[in-house]
Amino acid sequence: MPPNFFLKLNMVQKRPFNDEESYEGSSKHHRQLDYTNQLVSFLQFVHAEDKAQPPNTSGEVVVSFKEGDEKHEITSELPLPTEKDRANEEEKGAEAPFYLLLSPERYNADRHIRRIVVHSEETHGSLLESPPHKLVPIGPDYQADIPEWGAPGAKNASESSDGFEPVTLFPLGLESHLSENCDVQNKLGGICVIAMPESPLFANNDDEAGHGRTDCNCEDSDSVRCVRKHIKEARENLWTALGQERFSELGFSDMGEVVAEKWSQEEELLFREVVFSNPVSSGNNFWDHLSTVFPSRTKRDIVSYYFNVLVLQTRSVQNRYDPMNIDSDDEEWRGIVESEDDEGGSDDEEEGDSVVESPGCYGDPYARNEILDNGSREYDGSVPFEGFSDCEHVKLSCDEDPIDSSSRCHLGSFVGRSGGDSHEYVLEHCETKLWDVGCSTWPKTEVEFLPTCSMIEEVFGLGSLEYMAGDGKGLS
Amino acid sequence: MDDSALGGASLPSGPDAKKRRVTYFYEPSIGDYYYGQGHPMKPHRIRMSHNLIIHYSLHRRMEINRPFPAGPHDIRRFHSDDYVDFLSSVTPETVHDHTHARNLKRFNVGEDCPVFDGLFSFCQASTGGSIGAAVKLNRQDADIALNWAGGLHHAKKSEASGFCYVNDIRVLYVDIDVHHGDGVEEAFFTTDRVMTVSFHKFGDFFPGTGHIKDIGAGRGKYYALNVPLNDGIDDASFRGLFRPILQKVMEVYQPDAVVLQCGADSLAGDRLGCFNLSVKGHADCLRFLRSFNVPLMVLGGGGYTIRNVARCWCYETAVAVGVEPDNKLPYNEYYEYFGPDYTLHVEPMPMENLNSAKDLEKIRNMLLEQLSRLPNAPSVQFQTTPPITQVPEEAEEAMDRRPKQRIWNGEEYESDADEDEKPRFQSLNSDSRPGVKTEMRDAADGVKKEIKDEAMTDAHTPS
Repeated sequence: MPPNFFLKLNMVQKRPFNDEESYEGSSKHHRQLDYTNQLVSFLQFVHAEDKAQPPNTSGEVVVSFKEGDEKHEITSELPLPTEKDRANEEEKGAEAPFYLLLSPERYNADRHIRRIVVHSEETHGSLLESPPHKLVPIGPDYQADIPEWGAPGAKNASESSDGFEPVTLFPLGLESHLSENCDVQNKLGGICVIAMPESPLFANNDDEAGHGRTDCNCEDSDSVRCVRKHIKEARENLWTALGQERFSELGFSDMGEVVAEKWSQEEELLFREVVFSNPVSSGNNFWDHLSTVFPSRTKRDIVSYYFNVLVLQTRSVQNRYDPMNIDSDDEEWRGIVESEDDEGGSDDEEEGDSVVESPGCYGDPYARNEILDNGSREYDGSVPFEGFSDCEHVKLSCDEDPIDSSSRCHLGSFVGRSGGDSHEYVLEHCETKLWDVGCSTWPKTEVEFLPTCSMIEEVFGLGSLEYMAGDGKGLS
Repeated sequence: MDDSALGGASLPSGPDAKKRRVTYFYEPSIGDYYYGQGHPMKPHRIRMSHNLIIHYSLHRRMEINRPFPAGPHDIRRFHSDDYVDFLSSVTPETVHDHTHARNLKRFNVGEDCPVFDGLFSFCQASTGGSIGAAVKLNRQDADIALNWAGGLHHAKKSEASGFCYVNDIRVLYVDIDVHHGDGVEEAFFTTDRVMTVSFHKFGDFFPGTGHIKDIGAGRGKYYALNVPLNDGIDDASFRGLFRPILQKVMEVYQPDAVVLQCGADSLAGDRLGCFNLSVKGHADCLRFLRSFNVPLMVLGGGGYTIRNVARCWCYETAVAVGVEPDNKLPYNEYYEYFGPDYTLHVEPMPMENLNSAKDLEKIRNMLLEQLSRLPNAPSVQFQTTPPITQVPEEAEEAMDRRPKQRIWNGEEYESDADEDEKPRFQSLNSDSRPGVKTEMRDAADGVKKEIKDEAMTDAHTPS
C-alpha cells in the first residue's frame, strides 16, 4: 500500500486560493525556481483533528502545482471548521491545521511529490500573511527513524563503528601521539589533542585567556612589516606553549603565509596569473586551470595556498589602500579594486580602479615612497628596487577591464595586453637569503608594482619596465 | 571593555556565573575543502575561527579533540542508504559517469550542493564532530560541546540541500541561522522526542519552509516552533523574542540536552543573509541557553562573510568557556582578513528593521500560546541562573515570580524524570557504559553523577 502523504493546510479557507506562482526559494544560492512535481491524480481531504468524522464539504480549496512546465490545479472540497472548532481556535489563538491526505495513483519511489504547494490565505498580520506555504513532507522517506527506548531493534553504536574508513580523498592521518593526560575511551568521541583543563570550574583568572594584542613599539606600527613580525612572534609563542606535536595537531603548521614556503617563486607568480586571468564574471573557472597548471599539486595544496596566501595578501592590500571596499569573499577579484568612482584612471579601463584612485597611489611621483615608507627601511625613490632589500612589499592590483582579461594588471605579475605591449613577468628583486626559513612572512615572490603599467613608467621613468623585465631574476 | 547596548557584556567571571566544562572538536584539514569557485560556503572560515580561538588562548579553558570521521553506518542512522552510497562514491571525476549522473538530480546534488574533491571526507569530519560532541555530553565528560564544522541543517534524509549534505544534528534543537532549519525540522516533524525551534527570515527566501503555522504533526504536533522574521532584525528585537520563547520552551519541554545551531549568516553584513545582528547579539542566544546548565551542543552552520563568521564563532567559544575576550584581535595568521579595524566585534549596519514591534509581539504571543499547549513535564518548574545582562521586562517579572533558583542537574533533581530521560543517550553509546566518569570535579557535579549513575543503571537495558 503506498504511503499516504499528509499535507498540512492552514484553515479558514472560505474562498479559493490565489492563483499564484509556486513558491520561490528552492535554491539558496541562486534563488531560482526549481520545481519538479509529480502529478498527484487523486486527493482526499481529511481533517487531522478528527479523522473519524466525515468531512463537511462546504468549503473549497484549490491545490495548484507544477509538473515540469505545466501548471495544474485541482479543486476539491475542504471541511470547514465547526462552530466549536472556531470558538476553540479563537480562544486559544491558534489554528488547527488540516491535513490533506494524498493517495497518489502513480506514487512510486519518486520523492518529488513534496513540491506540491498549497496556497493559503493568512489573516494574521503582515509578516504572517505569506500566501505561498511550502509544506513539510511526511513519510518514511523524510522523517528520521527513532528507535524506541531500550528496544532491541535500536541500532547499536558498537555495530556502527566503522573502524577506519578508507573512502577518504584527504587522509586524515589518525595516527596521533596523544599527550599523557588524554584518554581515548571510545573512538567516536574523537582523538584528544588537548586534555580538559584541571579545574575549569574554578578558573576565574582571565589573565590566561581572552587577551587581544597590545600596542607595539614599532616605528612603522601597523605596517605590513610590523604586522608580519608580530604574527611571527605570536606563532613562536604558540609553538613554545603547545609543543610541536600539538602545534601540528591543531593545524598550525599549515596556517597563514608559511604555506607559501612550499611553493617556489615561479609557482606563486603562475598561480596569480591563472587566478586573475580567469574571473568568475567571464565564466571562467580558475580552479580548473590551476589543476592543469600544477599537475603535481593536490587540490588540497591549491586550496590551501589560495586561502592562506593569496587571499590573505590581497586583503592586506585592501586594508591599506581600499579600506572601504574590503571583501575576502568575493572571488571575482575585480571586487578587490572596484571603486565607487567610475572615473577612469588610464586609457582603456572601464571600471574604476580604486587603487589607482586612492591618494598617494596615482599620479604622484612620491606615491611609492609613501606606500613603501610603512614597510621599507631603505627606500630611495631614485633607485626603483632598492626599497625591496628587506622584502617589504605592498601589493597593488588593478582591474581595468573585467571583460577583457588581457588588459589587466595583477598581483605579482603583469599580463600582456592584447595591444602587444611588452609586459613581462616581473619578479621580485629580493634575495631569498634575506628570508627567514620558517618565518611566517610574506612569500618570496612579493612583487611591488604599480597599478597600471603606465604608472610604473611614470614613476620610474621610461624604460623601467624593460629594466624590470630584464633583471636577471625575471621569471625564466 | 566594550559595553553593548544590551546592558554590559561582562561574562561569568563574577560570583553569579558558573564555569562550564567545554569540549571542542576541530579537524585540521577542514579548511582545505572547497565547494567551488564563487560558491559562498567556504570551510576555510572554520579554520579562521579556530585560529582566532587559539590565539585568544581559549584552548586553555577547554578540551580539544580531533573528530573521528563518521562512517557510512553512522551517517545512515538518519540518511538513506542509497543517498549515503552516492555521497561516498561520487567524485568530480566520476560525476558524469552513467551511474552517477542520473543521481545528481535525484539527490539534489550539483548546483547549490556541488560535488567537490573530498566531499564525503568533509561530511565525515562535519558529522564526526557532532557525533563526538554528543558522545561527550552523553558520557558527561563535558557540559558544552562545540563543533563549528557541524550544523548543516538543510540536509534531508535522502538529499542534499542548501550546501548541506549530511545532517548531523539530534535532540531540543534551536536554530539561529538566517535560514530555516528545514532538514532538522522535517526529520523530527512527527516526534515529540526532538523539539525544533528555528528563528529565520521568512518570505521569498531559501528554503521556503518555516511558516509560523508549521507546528509539527502527529505525535510531534506542537513540537516544532517557527519564528518567521523579516529583514533587518536587530539585537534588541531578536532578544525580545529569543529569551521569552526559549525560557518557556525550557520550562515546558525540559530537554536533557540542547543543540544550538549558530549559523552566522544572521549577522549583519552577511553575504546571503539579511538580518542585522551584532556578534554580541548573536552570542546572547548561546549565553542564555548556557545559563540553564543543560548539556549543550553548539554547532556551526551558515555564514558567508567569512571574517565575521570567524569573529562570531570565536566570541561564542569564549562565551562558552566563560571568558570575555578583548576587542583588539591578537596577532594571528589570518590577521589581514580582519582589517582595516582588526577588531573582534562588528557593529550592526544602518539598516531598516522591517519587523515592527507589533508584528513581533504578535509572533511572540502566538508562540507562547503554542507552547502552553505542551503537556508540562512533571518536575518542578525550571530555573535559570539570573542573567547578568538586562532582560526584557516581562521575562524579568516571570523570573521574579519563580521559586528559588536551582541547577538543572543538581541536588533537587527529580530522579523520576532522570530515569525516563536517560535512555535517550543510550542509543548513542550502547557500548554500555552507564555513567562512566565518576571523577569528582566539584561537589555539585559529583552529586549529579551519582544520581545519574543510579538512574542509568536502573534504566539501562542491554541491547
